[in-house]
Amino acid sequence: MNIYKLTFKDKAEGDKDLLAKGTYEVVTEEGVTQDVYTNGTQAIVYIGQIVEVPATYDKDGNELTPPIYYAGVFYDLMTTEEIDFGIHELFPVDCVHSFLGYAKNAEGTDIPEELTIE
Amino acid sequence: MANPSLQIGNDKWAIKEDSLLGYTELGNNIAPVEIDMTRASAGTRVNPQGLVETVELLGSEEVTNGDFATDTDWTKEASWSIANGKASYNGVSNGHRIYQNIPLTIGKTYTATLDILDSSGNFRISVDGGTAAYTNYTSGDGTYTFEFTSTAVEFSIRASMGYGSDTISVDNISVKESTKNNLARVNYTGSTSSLLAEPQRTNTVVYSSDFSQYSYGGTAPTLTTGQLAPDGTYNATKISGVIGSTSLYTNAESSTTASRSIYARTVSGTGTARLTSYNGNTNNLFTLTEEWQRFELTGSNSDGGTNFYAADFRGSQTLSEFIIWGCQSEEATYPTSIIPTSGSTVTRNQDQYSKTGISDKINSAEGVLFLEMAALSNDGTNRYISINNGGALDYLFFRYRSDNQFQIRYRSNNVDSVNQTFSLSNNLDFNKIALSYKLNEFKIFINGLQVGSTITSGNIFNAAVDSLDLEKFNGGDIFFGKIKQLQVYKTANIDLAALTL
Repeated sequence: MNIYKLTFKDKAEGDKDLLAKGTYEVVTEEGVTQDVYTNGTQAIVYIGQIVEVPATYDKDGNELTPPIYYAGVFYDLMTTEEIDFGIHELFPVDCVHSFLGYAKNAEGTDIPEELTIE
Repeated sequence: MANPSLQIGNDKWAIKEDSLLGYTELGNNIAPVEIDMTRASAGTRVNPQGLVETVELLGSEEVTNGDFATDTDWTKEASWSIANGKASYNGVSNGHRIYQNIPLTIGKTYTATLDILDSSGNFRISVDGGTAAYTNYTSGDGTYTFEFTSTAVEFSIRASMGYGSDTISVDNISVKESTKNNLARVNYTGSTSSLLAEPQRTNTVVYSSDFSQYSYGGTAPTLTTGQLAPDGTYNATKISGVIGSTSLYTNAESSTTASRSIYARTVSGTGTARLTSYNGNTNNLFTLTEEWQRFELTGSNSDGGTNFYAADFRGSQTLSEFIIWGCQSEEATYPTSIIPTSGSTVTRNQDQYSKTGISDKINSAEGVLFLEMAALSNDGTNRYISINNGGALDYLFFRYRSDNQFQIRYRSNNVDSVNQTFSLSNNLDFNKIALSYKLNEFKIFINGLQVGSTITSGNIFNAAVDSLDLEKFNGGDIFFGKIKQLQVYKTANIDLAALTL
């Protein structure tokens, strides 16, 4: 199984690239549109923005200073296929998202379950 | 009445990796029919004992002499000895190990269990087959379970003491290969069992049950860990707060439209508490009892937007302390089974089932499809169960429609023989639904009653069908719901009233 950590300028660019690479297709039936995974795609997870510097809050949970985000938006893709995403692929060491049963920092190709990276 | 040519469930469940075992009854014998199953991640369910668990298949025992009955099979480094039915470490030479060349398969996942005995003071151990950083800690005598992915063929235990005088003993070591992906989930509600098929979901709460990671407002809560949890572990937490002051929350891990859920119970008696969202909301006051319940909040939250409040004592409620476990926030209209998290958001993949090449189980000329099933939600999506041949001309399907109605369609060479849409009394209840088909005779029965009258004109499949899919006849619109039983008959001569009663 392959898990790719991806970044794009925005969601429109990410969706377009993933669609172009055949990871899913958009199907509309009776006015209901859905994304259908294709060609070995197991899951596409839109993570969105990732916080680089957390916001600060007062004792009541009100935001004092807003968070600072890394540039762009992020996706996790799980697929049986090997796909070249070029500059869009990342290799983070401390990931904010994982798949149930896999190590938090699993990424790259041929990922076993629960690979523990020390 | 004839036996089904294919059955699933009806309280007879069996699973293996990548498949759910359907079956055919042959006299007193049962012949398995493997239904292909895909979910390339782990998943949780409620087991027959009522405990939440990750569905897992364990292989055979890998360790020899795990009870240390004899001083054999294990290689002992300095400070380790085997005697009196256990392996003991005297704490003199830190970092040394006792190990066994099983051999483990590098890259595979294993579950190890062991008993810690005679522990004194501070220590830590590592149980893995690799280079063994001391990542796994024990906290006194007891039974521990660890999961690891092997990076070496040896299974090793290393001990590293906090103090030179500390000692520890180990007994009853078990190591088994663990499989969690692509396993069907049979979920129990009391004594009722059903196949659970759920969509892909992400729990955006980063620590689902570690409340030491949460922030608090007002008077600091007292968190008492080590409480018995819905999964049978002692990982639940008692929270004691001050009504009118305390809150316990995580920042920016939910949304105003997310479905939020949490398990909670009282310490004793019955009372109310505000859970999962800001106290100013009106839909978050729940009644807790001494039994574990999962409380679910759906619909928009007007206040406290993106924070997930495990507990918010600032509004009106009666309980100043209770026990909590398993927070979850999903960006969707209804909650699904718990997705445990510990340091990141986590995604469970969708469940998919299909079986092709069963023309010997499906009669294209006449037959019956019978299901006892329930929807997970009226969420405006299409969810199909179909018999088909992969094309778009000949098929039959049962469908929960996007308009929350239910549809049965039988199509021959792109022409409808049956196409009926109706309302079930409640999509979320289990309904028994059957369609019988043969040339110029089609019948629909639901819960013992015929829907409409027998359809007396209509063709049978023009091209043979040979597949059963929990999705649309040509892919997509996956069935997410619960199935108690599914039956396929090769004859239409079935008493549908009795079958669906």
